[in-house]
Amino acid sequence: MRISEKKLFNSKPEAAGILLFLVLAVLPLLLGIAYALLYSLGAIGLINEGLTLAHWQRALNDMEFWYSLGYTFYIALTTISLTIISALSLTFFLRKPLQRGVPGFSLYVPLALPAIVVAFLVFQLASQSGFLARIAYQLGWIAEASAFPEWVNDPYGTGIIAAHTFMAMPFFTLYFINIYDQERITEFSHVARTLGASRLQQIIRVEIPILLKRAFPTLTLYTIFVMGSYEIPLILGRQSPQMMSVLIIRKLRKFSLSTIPEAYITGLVFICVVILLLILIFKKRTFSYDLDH
Amino acid sequence: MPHKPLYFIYLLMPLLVLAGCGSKQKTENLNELSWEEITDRTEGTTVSMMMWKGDPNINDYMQNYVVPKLKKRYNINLEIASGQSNTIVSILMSELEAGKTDGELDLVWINGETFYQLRQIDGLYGPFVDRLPNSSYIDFSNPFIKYDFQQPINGYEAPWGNVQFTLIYDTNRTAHPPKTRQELARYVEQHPGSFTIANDFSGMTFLKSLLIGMAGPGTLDGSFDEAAYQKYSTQLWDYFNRIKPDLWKNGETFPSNVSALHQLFVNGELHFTMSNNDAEVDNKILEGFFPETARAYVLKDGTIQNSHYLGIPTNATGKAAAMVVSNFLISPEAQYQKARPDVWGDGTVLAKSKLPEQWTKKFREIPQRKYAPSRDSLNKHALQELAPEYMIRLYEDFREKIIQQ
Repeated sequence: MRISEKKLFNSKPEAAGILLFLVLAVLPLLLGIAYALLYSLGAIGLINEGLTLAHWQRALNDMEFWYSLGYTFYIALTTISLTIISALSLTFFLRKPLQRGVPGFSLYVPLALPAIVVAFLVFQLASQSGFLARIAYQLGWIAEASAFPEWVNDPYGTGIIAAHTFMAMPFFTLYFINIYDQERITEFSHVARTLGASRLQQIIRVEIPILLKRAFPTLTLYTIFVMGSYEIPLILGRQSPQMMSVLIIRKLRKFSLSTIPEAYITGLVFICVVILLLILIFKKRTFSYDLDH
Repeated sequence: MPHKPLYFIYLLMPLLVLAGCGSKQKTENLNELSWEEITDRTEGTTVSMMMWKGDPNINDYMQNYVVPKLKKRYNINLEIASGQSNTIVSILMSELEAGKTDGELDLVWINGETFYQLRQIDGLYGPFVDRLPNSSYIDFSNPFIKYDFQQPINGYEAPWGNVQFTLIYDTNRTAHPPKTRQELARYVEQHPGSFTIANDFSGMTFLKSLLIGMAGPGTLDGSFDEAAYQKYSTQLWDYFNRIKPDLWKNGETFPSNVSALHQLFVNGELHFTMSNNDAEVDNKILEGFFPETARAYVLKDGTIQNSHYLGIPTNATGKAAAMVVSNFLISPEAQYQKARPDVWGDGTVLAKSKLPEQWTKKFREIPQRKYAPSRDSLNKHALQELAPEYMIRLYEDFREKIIQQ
């Protein structure tokens, strides 16, 4: 008599649900990747002339591609670092006022703005002929508009980072405040204080580690979201280097149709890098939001 | 419980369903039909046209003049979708790659660059132009109409309008605009940060004008010549790198498109903007976007003049109706309306000598624009477009030799 049979799914609805997820979410993604791969190898596509590695060689030998990859990481990591610092500061020092009234409501405003609107706002505000430059000029701080510091289309991506941080900071502030309450961090801090910890020690040794550990998966996913952003670097970035998505679209829509396979390759490498990083980062973690893990 | 391999069948099912969806297109030889039969058959049909919709004047002309006229006269519904040339190319490419025979688009607004790409992928239906009765008025002897980027159009696209590249400046700020490239270099040196080009079609067209200026008129005509390109483009990049430190943002970055360039001109950051369309300065002043002191002009060595065209995708479902629409768009009345500076100000492709008397008169008496030189005086400085490969190389080299330096 068989006592137990190892089953793939616990129940029929569960099996159906997972199947539906595979068909609707995973399958299109895999098909897309397969299509891009075949296109990049010259196996399909109107202008391709049969299997070749030439597109891959050309794409990977292009220094612009590697600069773009580095630049994309630089923008995303700087944005997320600034976001963490500012959102943590707001959480620690303004948590109470931010949970009520106008200040509380104002946190939601940036969340309602689409990326392209934020990009335009930053451009209008911070470009050398923008609002801030005009005020500085009227106040006599600068002699001409071009003397205003370069914050938009600048080599360091200041505008891009500012726009992304503006969008991410309120989100993470709200998120941290929620965790703060849910995890009863105030109580942990009290315990630490009873044991003789200073306020600084409470923040550094107790509060920050709990918040960051809990927010880690979301922070990672948001970093990837910033890496893939398009409108903000398109409007606020430079012609070179460009963030990955801007580079991909440029290669896809160039006058010369021969760079289309390179666009697919850029996309594929980007996907691989992201997946590899996710595997490395989450290798020892589960995707659970539980602190016990 | 099903065996594992069965899951793959479930996974493949949506694909099989999709594969079965391809519809069969009735293929009809339009060449066997008379023009009357074509207009009869297309009554009550809908034509979807894709075009650049970035200009309110152009949109107004299409929506409030062309659409109602077509409906009234031919009972054709013209639906206009917004899409620039690269959108058109990617839509058609993916449709053709997927083997879709009933395409989304019936009529597209294109010019040299798109024509070259669509011919490469066999995306255009034709030849159809000589089937259009109004094509008899078109000035096919004009090289600016007959050739698109040095490629003979061969009936695969119907000429629709003709424009010339101009530089735009503000008389309040610049009393004597530079007339040659040497004067331009001096101007830029004396007014650092006041000049740049957009890294797009307009900027490359400007570079092309400079390139032809350096090579001498006619030298680069015909198919792409690597040696000639090397020789003259080296001079071009030398010239550009010399003025680069004094360009806007020290030439370290460039506006990504001509709208951004216009914005910087209006803001006062730049002293010059440019346009592929010689009527744009009048349009933009009428809109109130450019100051009334803005003027268009061309360099002595000349600027590129080119035509824009109407094409029918090879997989269009409404080819016949698209032909009727094209025929209306090149009719004397539609061309006259389009040429009026208060409407669009687009140059006509019709030969005045071929038109009926009453139309020749009307075209002659068309109100003149105010802020750009007359078309006749521009014609004296008109340069023909070069083969498409020059444009491809200029884009690549501009990135490599200027932006990334």
